[in-house]
Amino acid sequence: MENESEATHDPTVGRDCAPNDSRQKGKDVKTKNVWYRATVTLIAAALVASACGSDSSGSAGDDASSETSTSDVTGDTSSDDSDSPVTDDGDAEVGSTYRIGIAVSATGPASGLGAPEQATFQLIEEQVTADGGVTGPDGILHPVEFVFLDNETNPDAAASSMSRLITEDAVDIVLGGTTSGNSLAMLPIATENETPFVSLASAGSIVRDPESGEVRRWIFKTVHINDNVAELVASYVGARGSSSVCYLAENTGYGQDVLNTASAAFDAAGLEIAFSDVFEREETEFPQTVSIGAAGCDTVVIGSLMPAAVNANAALLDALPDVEVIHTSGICNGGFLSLDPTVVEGVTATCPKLLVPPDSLPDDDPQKSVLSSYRDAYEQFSGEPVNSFGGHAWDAGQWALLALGSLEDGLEGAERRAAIRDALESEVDGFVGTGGVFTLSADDHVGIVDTKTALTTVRVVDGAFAPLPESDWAN
Amino acid sequence: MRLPMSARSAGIGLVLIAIILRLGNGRGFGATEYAQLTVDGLRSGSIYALIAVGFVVVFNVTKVINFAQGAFVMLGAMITADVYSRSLTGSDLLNLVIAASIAIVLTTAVGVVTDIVFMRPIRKSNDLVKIIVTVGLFTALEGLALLKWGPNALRLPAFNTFLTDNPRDTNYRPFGLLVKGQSIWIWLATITLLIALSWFFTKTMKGRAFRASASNELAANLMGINSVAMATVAFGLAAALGAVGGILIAPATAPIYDMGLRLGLKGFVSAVTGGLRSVSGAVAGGILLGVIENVAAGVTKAGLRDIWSAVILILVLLYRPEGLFAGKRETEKV
Repeated sequence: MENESEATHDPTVGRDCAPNDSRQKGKDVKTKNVWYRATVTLIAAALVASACGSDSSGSAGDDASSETSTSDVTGDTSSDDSDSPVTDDGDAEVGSTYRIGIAVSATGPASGLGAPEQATFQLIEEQVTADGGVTGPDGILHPVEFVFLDNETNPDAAASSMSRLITEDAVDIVLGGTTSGNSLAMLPIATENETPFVSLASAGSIVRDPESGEVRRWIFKTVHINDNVAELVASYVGARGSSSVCYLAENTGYGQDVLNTASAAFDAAGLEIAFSDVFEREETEFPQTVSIGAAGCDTVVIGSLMPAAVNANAALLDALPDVEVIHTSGICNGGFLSLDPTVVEGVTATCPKLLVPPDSLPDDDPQKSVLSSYRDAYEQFSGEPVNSFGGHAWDAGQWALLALGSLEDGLEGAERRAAIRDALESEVDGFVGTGGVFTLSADDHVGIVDTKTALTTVRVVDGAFAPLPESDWAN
Repeated sequence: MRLPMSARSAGIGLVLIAIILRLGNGRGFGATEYAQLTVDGLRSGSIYALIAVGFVVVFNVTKVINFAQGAFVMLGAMITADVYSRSLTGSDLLNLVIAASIAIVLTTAVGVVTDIVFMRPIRKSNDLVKIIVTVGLFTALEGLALLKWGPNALRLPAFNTFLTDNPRDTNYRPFGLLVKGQSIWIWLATITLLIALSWFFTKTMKGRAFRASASNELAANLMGINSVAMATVAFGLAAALGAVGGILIAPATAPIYDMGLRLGLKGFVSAVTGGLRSVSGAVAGGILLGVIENVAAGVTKAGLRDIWSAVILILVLLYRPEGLFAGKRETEKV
């Protein structure tokens, strides 16, 4: 009754015996082929499903990205194409096209960060296209083409997107990276091909080789380094008069980096980390709280991204309700507030200034106007509330435009890329961005001179981030 | 349960306990700390046990290690959190009951469809093909979950919040220990399910047919038992158990589309520890894994937590591939 399809192959009953029956194996050879094919098809379907799945999270304007990349592939010559794009700017002389490569994590686990970055670059693209391009000091207008690739939150895909942007699309500068792991996978290729790369990730090792201590010549980033966060957290904890601090970090590149930088900053501030440990992203049990209790800490810093940051916070709240919890800047987006409001109420975090409403900043804050104009532009363009990740992308895009706008006409290929690199170091000088006031130099490829331009302490009050000025730290 | 512990494994156990005490001592752990780590381990262990039973049920009838089991756990958690967040009725408690019921029914349906559509046509293929297909199914279900829910985590409140005014889980603190309200729900639900399962297997006609099919497919067929249908029952049952595990653990974490892999692997290790064929062995294996893992993570680095399940898997496969709790195989009358 049950062997409809197979009846012709195998009339015996013996096939139902133990699986190591050799007769059965022989007979299966014919059908095996079919089922191998079915299996391969199924796995292929699975891969397609997961790829499609991640696409949906890419949010606004995926079609725009594919359009740019395909049009680029068809007109695949290097940078010296002389077809004059249509611009409404009649009298300006039109020079060669500049190409900016974008490779953010539009999909995958970090798409919560990558999607706003992607949307911000699309916003910049729209603005630049409306202007017709960037005008050099010699008055020549250069159209700017944006080439979007998705690094899928996967270091392998990130590395190959970097190679593709450089070799196939012949871009002049690459912006993106999104996560530290991706950026670290991408940067050797940028260095090897002498192409400037502005990363949007946090780890300090992106711009400075941790072994030699030297600044990486071709690599820049717009995100405060975790040392900035650690410094601010340490001064906050110091001001609170905490007697014993514990540290919990997510077991990822981000978590390891915040933990390492914290040890240095806490040492410098004369504080000792009594106990530190890591935890997994989808953890359900937190045995670390037992050790924290045994170590007697009254303050715990959680260095994690979402959603793990909230899980760890909840475990601490249950096990040690009297402990004060401080988060690093990895949680600075709306998901932190909405995932479980009962957990995060009252906790403190160090976040980029973009997170607090602009009108809560003092009027003499130099970043106030750029913060509020980016916030409005982004929210109108994407329909989503603003977050700091898009802000870092905004700063990176503006750096690139600033550097491109300083180039004389007539530069091509390697010469042009080198000129852009040099221009970043010279032109980004007191640049007022969403993520800080930046001054780049040969020794500093982040350029945040004053940590407090990049970050501010915030506290969750009534389900929203409220600014926590230094004067209120002790309360 | 028979425990024919050889002197060697007893020796290894003693050495491990000594190492744990030595490490914990360095952190100032006393009895309370060890008890706390054990209590927390019992909680995740119970979930591993439910997942492991799902592996065993399918393996017994179909000889397939169903790696899609982890996806059933994820579906249970995600569907519940999703339906609950839609607030279909005015009462939160009712919403939870509706959400959990829908999740169990849908996940069971996915399990049944899995068997009928994918596994039944390849039931004559070799085992490797079947296992590869279950891995493919896992990836497909995870991909569909990402498509449906996106990359962000969802949330399901602890069950106690539905019965009290407390917006957070009610925690109990007997003898200086922390016992989360959700843990009690997990234990009660696991025990109830296991009792119900044992009643089903021993007291109902369908359950006996199921065991007969698992024990000797040919003989069961000759007795008029449809072993193909039994495979479908096994997949449905495994999916339902996975879904319940997912629903119970959902409030302890933030359910996310890729949560299935880790839980599925833990369940697999538990099932292998218990010998892959015995339900009680799988339950013991799950609880043992949960406790060992949590205590080991507590006295060493928690970043090493996932290593312990791999260590246990390798040790079991090397020294007791028939499972820690396996006695002599004997013919059983059902």
